[in-house]
Amino acid sequence: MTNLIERFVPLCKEADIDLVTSVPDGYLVPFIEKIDQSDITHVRAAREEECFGIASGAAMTGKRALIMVQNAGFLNSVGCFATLCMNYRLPIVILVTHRGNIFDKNRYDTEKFRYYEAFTKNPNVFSVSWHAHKNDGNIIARAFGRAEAAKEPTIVNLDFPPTDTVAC
Amino acid sequence: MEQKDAIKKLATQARNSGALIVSEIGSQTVWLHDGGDHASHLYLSGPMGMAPSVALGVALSKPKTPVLALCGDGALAMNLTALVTIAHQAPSNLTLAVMNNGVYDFTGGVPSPSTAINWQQIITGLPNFEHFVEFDANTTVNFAADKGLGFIECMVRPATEKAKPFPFTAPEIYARFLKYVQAE
Repeated sequence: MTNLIERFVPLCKEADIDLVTSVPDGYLVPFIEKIDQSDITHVRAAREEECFGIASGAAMTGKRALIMVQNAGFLNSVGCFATLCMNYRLPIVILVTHRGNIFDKNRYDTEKFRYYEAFTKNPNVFSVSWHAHKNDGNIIARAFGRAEAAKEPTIVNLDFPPTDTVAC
Repeated sequence: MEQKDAIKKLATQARNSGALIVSEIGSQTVWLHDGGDHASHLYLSGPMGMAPSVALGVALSKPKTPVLALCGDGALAMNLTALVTIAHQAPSNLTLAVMNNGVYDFTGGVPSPSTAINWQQIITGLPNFEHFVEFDANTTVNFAADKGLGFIECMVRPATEKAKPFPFTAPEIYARFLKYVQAE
């Protein structure tokens, strides 16, 4: 068992990620710090929707691009997700910190959870819970494999505090 | 200047420098296509405002290749924060061009709130933009990949004619562009 924060960059390297673009969330801060210490290109975006454009541009050149945003930031970007990422069938992976569930100590994030759940379930957007698969190996690499096979974005929901120990 | 003519002239110079061209949904995409289709064109079909962000992703992924983003003034106003992100990254191979006509040309010519924006003042206030060019019929632009982050403003008139029909689906555009880029 190991700390997910310590394993994050090795997981990204193993998944051959070329570019990460993010807007921070409390859960994402330690990941962002680790990415900044690595040689993976990291684009700090001023707004979440930009991340979807930046990752799409990288994907259109054949690069593997990972987006990291909070669930409310994803909701800010739904138009771009639909008309760019889905419309062009782009194999990007989106790591969404899914705040407001029962593992979350914050008591003010419950509505983010409700509306993000509603958005991803109704159009049948493919998403996977990291918590449910935290003992199943490199979920980031698996997500890229699935995105490229299905020719569409794949969402990984980071739905537990990253300080938890995992066996990935 | 007509937007049709400005885009054709600018795109020709960019292509002659080996540039990849990302065009905003609407006027920039249809006029870029109308002026001469090419596999190096990444035509966007949505959402409005994303051309600079997509172009940044392309530019960072292909650092030795010039990249031109064709934007409308209304669209760029929708994603003004992209200028902050791009200035922070400062890819030397990226040039943003704004076709400034003060209206949403592709949406019935409705006036845009960006009408009175002074783009040069905005760009001057951001770090790392090394070039600001006012483009007209006699301008030659340096698109070299190492020239530094650039911005072009082109004053254009609202269109009085329609571009020829645009034939591609989004997945077709992606497949063709990817094939072109990977063959470079």
